[in-house]
Amino acid sequence: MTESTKNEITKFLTGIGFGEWSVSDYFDPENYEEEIDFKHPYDSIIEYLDKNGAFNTDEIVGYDSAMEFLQENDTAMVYTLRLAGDVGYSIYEIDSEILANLLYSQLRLESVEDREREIEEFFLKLQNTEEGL
Amino acid sequence: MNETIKNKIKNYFDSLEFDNWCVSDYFSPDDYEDINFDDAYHYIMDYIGDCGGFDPTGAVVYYSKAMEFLQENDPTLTLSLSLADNDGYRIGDLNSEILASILKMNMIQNMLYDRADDISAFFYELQELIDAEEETEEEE
Repeated sequence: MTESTKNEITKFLTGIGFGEWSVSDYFDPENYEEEIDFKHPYDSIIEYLDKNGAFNTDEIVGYDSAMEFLQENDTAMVYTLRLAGDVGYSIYEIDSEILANLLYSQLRLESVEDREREIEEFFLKLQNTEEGL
Repeated sequence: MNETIKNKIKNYFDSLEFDNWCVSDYFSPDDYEDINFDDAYHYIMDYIGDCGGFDPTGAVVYYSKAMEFLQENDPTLTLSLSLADNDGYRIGDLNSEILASILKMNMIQNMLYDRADDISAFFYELQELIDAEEETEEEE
């Protein structure tokens, strides 16, 4: 894989994310070929991110920060509370930090899910270009 | 009951307030005579309760206001969630308005509970004042 291709992938992956979180943070350009299955790029990226804890974050620390995050991203808290219920939390097991991290993880996942088609197309195009070279 | 006494009660009820909620909103001066001065705290609590004054429905309106209220008064959310659980809510039925409203009503009842002795003392002194006035009137 050429440096130019690696740069192209890095640029593309950097554009996928939520807020300051970016997919490219989890990949080493030197290992793109091992970490991404170019035939099934979306599934392999999701699997790789999941395996590396990208969708199970505990980065939001402190109740004030947690409340700020919730206020900014789910003011009604309907989505977050339903999510907490869906993953099996009971009312007594949750607090604002857990809820905020749960929402942050979900928004990260959705930011990748929303780009599924683009991811597939990007790597297909890249593969075709590489094969054509 | 003369106007002076009514004004004293009105002013006192005005002081029993929390975040735009106020005891005086639930009493008309005409109702003051019905207050049981010997057990004023429980009378007031029951009266407000019967009027729906502790009903959390709509106590905090708008999600953004609800989040502000929660952030200020229960940033962990554990108290609000526990109160919601006691009220029979399930996790998936909740939202920030419901949590903030339940919390607000709980805080109001706690505020009144904290003032229970003060309320009893106020009405005890008022009763003494009324009795003294009546005694003076009888003497005259």
